[in-house]
Amino acid sequence: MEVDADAEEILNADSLKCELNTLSRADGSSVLCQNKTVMAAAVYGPVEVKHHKMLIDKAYIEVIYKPKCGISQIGDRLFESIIGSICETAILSSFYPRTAIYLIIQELQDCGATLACSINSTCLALIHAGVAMNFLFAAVTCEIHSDQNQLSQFQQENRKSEITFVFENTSDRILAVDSYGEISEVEYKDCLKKCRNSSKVIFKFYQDMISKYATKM
Amino acid sequence: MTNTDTDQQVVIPGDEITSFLQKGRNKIILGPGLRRVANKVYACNGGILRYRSPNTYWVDSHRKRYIPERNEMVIGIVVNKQGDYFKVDIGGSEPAILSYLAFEGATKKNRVKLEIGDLVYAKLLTATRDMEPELVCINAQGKSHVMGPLANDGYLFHCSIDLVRKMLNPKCPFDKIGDHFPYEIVIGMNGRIWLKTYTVKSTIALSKAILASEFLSFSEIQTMCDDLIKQYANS
Amino acid sequence: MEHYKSVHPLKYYQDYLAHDIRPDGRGLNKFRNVAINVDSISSANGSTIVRIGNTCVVCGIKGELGPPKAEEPQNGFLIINVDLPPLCSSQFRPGPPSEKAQALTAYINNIAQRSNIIDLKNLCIEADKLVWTVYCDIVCLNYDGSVVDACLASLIGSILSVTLPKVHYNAETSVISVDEDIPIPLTVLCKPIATSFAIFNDDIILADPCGEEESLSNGTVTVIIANDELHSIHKPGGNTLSEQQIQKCTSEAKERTILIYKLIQAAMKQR
Repeated sequence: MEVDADAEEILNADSLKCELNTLSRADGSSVLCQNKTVMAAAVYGPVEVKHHKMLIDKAYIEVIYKPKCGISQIGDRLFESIIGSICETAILSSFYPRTAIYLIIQELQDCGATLACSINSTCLALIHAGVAMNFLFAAVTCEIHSDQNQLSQFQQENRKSEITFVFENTSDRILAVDSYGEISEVEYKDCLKKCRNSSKVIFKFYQDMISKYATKM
Repeated sequence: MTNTDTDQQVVIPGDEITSFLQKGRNKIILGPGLRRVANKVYACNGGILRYRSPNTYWVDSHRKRYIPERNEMVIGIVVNKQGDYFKVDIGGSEPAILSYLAFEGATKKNRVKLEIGDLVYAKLLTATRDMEPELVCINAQGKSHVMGPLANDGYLFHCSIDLVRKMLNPKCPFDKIGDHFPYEIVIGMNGRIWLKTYTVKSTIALSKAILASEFLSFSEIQTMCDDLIKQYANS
Repeated sequence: MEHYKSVHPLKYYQDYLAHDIRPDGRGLNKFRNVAINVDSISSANGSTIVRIGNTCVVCGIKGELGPPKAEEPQNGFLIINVDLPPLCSSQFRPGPPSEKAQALTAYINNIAQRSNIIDLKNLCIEADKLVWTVYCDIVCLNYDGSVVDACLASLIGSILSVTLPKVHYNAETSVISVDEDIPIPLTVLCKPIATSFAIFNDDIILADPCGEEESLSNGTVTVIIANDELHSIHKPGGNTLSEQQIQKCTSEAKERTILIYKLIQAAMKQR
């Protein structure tokens, strides 16, 4: 995978740090540090499902997002619904009918781009759990500042808008996108290009993580 | 492509691996972690692509949660008694059923004595996605073979499914320890290991050694086993 | 035909879509009729009813006076709540707000905040003492797809129509006097309008999906446009889309936004 110089602007390989198997009881777990934002994710599944939630043709997928303090609020519900529908597309849920897959994401440190970091930590936890997937996914957040400067992760006062893209590793198509604030067409295209290049850094990182523990098997 | 080439081929979900497969063969067998879509083969788990001649491919990946597979040997815990069946927890998404009659010499009158919480070593007779799995403790000839209830004086611990596969690899050096101190071990494909030795000390030592070997190569395990034997001899 | 639809709903749809038409007679990129009625609730400070096909949403705005937050003494509050009661669809049960309602509320609040619909400083009467809290309650009466579109349109309609009475605050005596005779409209900075699309299979995009289409689809895309600029794209998972497909959605949404603006303006004149 080739990585453009552009990608470095938002995310470079050094800004990603991850540990797998952090929780002994979970089927898959990860702690991902993306720049300075840190998220922990755990996957339980496929496990027994409550009768009223059972789906006969596929797995029931539930996402729980826990903020670092306080009880979860409506903003967290939005995160849960986005991550949930990404996972429903990525996981081969028809492999596990009449079961449930629970994804729990715990925010550990918020320095911006929490959505991207939680999506990526979820993906790593799913890989670690050995859940069958159609493809891997990687999220990148891009912030547009009033002075045209673009940066990911660092929440700053003068940001005009932010956009999060989620890509998959089998094609160039867009799996999910979530944006707020005014974005011109030129800015949008620029962000898309930079985020796509950065997503390749993340996919490379996933592959490295897999090889790291797979070669020990 | 030779066998050695595939040995360290790391694949990630979504990778198309059609090109790795042997050309010219009209029949290949896809194991866990691989799936076919139209005429292409994709990986759906992350791990190492393995090949066994003549035509079998699979992906070795990390997994902790057990997904029942037919004919696998598992260690189950009896969780309930229902009519003519035991409900047995085998670590899958739902408990398996085990008939009172699926034991050697069992009849309607002569029932096997199993209480809730007891362990059984059994084989999966059926395991499909859409039905609850069914266990038996007899083989096709009606013999128990090695299956049946496990004694209460053993020690049961959990590990990942890939460690089980590693332990069951004929190259795994743990067998050798048996020459130096006696132990009984039952390994369930569902990530449960039942261990029995004569002293508590050796049970703990051996179980720790097994769990520690998850991320060690066979030669490293060999070194660890040698250490263990030395320490055992000295104590 | 009815049996075929109930046994194979997806196939039923695909048969139609193969001929570039939808079961309700619309083309793939045709929108449903929109009806907007402003100021229909007299007890509220501002209100709007929006109908998109069968989808029907009411938004009512009420202003309340209260003290501001200590961290932001200059800012008033704009609090938007979306309610999806059991009345609007069988998929919602009585009780606390469903996850869908919570996610929708969070999304619309995010939009309002990040797109600066109104300047919260304009809601200030006396810094650190008294500000307006503007409660926007959006209630869905009939849930038949593209509810975000209806919610946002009703919100914008209501905010445009809302008038708050003139309030005098005497800093020395802390006496508040409200002058109902002088209605003051809010200054609206930005008017974001949503347009939803549903993804069928990999390459079919349906504009303004109805409830049935939404539930059978492989994901939705919502594009929010204000002042002919993109203000939000929300595509939570579902089937992947190419850059061009999203581009197409954006340009279709831009055209539709102009139409919705016209409808709101016409409705404002009629009241």
